[in-house]
Amino acid sequence: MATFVVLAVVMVVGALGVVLLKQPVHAALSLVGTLLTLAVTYVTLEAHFLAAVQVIVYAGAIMVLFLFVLMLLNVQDTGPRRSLPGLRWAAYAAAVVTATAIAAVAFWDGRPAPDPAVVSLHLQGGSAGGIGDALFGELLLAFHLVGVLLLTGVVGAVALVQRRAESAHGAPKGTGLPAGRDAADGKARALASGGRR
Amino acid sequence: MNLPPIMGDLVVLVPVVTLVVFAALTLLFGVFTRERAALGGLALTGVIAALVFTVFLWLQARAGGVAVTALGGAFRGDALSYAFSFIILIGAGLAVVLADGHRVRLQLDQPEFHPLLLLAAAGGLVLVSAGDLVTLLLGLEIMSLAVYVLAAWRERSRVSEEAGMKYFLLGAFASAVLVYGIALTFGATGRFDFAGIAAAAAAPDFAARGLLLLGALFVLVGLAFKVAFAPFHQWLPDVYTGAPTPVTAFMSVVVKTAAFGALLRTTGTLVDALGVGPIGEVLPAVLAVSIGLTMVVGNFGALLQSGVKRMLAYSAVAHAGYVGLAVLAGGDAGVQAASYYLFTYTFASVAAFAVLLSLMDDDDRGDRLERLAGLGRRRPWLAAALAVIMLSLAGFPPFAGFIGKAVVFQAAIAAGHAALAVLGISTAVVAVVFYARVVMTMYLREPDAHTPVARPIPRRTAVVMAIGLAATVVFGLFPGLWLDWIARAPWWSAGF
Repeated sequence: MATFVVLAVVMVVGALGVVLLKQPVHAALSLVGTLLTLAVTYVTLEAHFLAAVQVIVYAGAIMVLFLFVLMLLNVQDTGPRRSLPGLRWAAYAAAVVTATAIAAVAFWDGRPAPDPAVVSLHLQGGSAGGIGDALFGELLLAFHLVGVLLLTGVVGAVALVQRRAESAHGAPKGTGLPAGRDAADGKARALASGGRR
Repeated sequence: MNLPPIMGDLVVLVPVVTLVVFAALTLLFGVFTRERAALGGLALTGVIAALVFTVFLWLQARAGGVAVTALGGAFRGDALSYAFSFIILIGAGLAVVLADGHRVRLQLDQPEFHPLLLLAAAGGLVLVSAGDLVTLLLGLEIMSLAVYVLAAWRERSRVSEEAGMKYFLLGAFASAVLVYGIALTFGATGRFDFAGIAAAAAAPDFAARGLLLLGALFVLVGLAFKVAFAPFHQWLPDVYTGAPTPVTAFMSVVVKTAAFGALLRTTGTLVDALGVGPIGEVLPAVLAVSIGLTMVVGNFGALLQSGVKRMLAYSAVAHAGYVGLAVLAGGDAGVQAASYYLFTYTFASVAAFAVLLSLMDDDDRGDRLERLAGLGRRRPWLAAALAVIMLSLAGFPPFAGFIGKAVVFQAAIAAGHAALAVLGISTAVVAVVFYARVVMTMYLREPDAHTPVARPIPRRTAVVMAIGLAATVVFGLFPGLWLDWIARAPWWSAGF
């Protein structure tokens, strides 16, 4: 229990950092902290395979992707944004109230934890077998639908990037675009042609 | 035919698989051929094939020949899923034909357009057939991801890019809320499938009713975003206006029908699971407030618009409110009323956007009401078509829109929501004003020198308009064609 509390506190602090830190790279690093702590939590639950996947896929691959995008886009703080007065504080208040309500209901109304012996039996010592059973048994349809979802994402991404590149090559129809827009087109075209310049 | 049990199960998945296969085929064709005109035909073939399979399975299921669930309950082939799949596929087919007629002008002939349309429809079918919350989420994401891209399709158009971006960011946020709701529901009941949730909540020692309520509210918010219940409707006017008009037509029928199918199933299960008592009353109350707000905001918002496309967008919000009454009524009567409303709305909405397409500029802009001035004399047939559709959407007898509102109000009153039904009827009177304004501009206002002349209608668009009109009149005069047909079906939507 004590381990869990420590891990939970680190995780929540990390999550708050993602939202509150001003620099995008700091926020991304804060997210790494949360993801790694989550992996450790999986280890304490004896879900070793899941922990390894968590580190490799999320803390590894996906975070690298995040950082790549951040560096490519060169995100900067563009100064204060126009918004309704008080909106910021209303948003903070709403977030705090919602979070408190969820936490209160979860503590007050939680289901009793199942017997640890049953859980360990299901987890099969944290090997890949249990996950395989779930993926190709109970969640077979969901597993295949994720494939369709990824296909949709890839086709959609290609459609958006490809279109830009095509129109940039072809005769410019609508003129009067700001110069920055053309530079962005050039970047998109470079990406579409695999970085060849 | 003696299929092994697992194969017998999988038959229920055939319409979805057909759409995905045709999406892949269209994609491959797009790569290997420059003949872009063929892609629309191929996509339409896929939709029609899926429609034929759906009808076949529906008939088989009514005769008791096909299993109601597949893959351990993850996918359901019940009356709700077949009825809504049928409506989705008809809407998708009409939208494909509509897009095809204006393909070159609106730059819809990139090879990725039709695959995305088919994948979105496949996601919609999964959404209305989902037997558990994981499948539901995946169906929703497949559909949404494709539509985000389609909304941003117009090249070099800030409005379209804004539409896609806005829809994507807000949609991603709504999906996150939905995922959170699913997690909380799982935390309360330990199950993802609707039958399991109902069973767990019915157990005498079920203690986590508060947690289940919290999960249900989050799930409701996630789905309310997709069907555009107020106050989660704010993305809709901008996205409908910014997207290419054929895509707007697609969204107003396919996305809406699919999201309502999921909403009917989810609220049906969760309201029952929460039971009676103070906790059980929260979810219907929240839903009722949101629906009342939707009807008011949608109709008064439409009243203030000067663009026809934007007016139709706000009226889509208002219609979501009326279907919401059927959702709130729940039960078999609610599901049947909602299916009739959405079925007839599909035809009317696609036909309205089809007329609008022939009035707008080449670059899909310019939808101001003044453009319609004098249309009654210049293009009498086009004007008559638009007039019939507007009157049907406003709820005038003898058109289908009238019967749709009648069955929905009837279901709401029968379920004890008389006050909300009265609010619905009064806002429907407001709706008459802005629909009648379109008709009056066409027939009473004189065109001036700036009024552009409507372009000739491509034959395919004329077919869409004719189908939409015919269905609006026929199903208005003979509502029993649909209502009796679905009422005779054994309904498995409630009480698994």
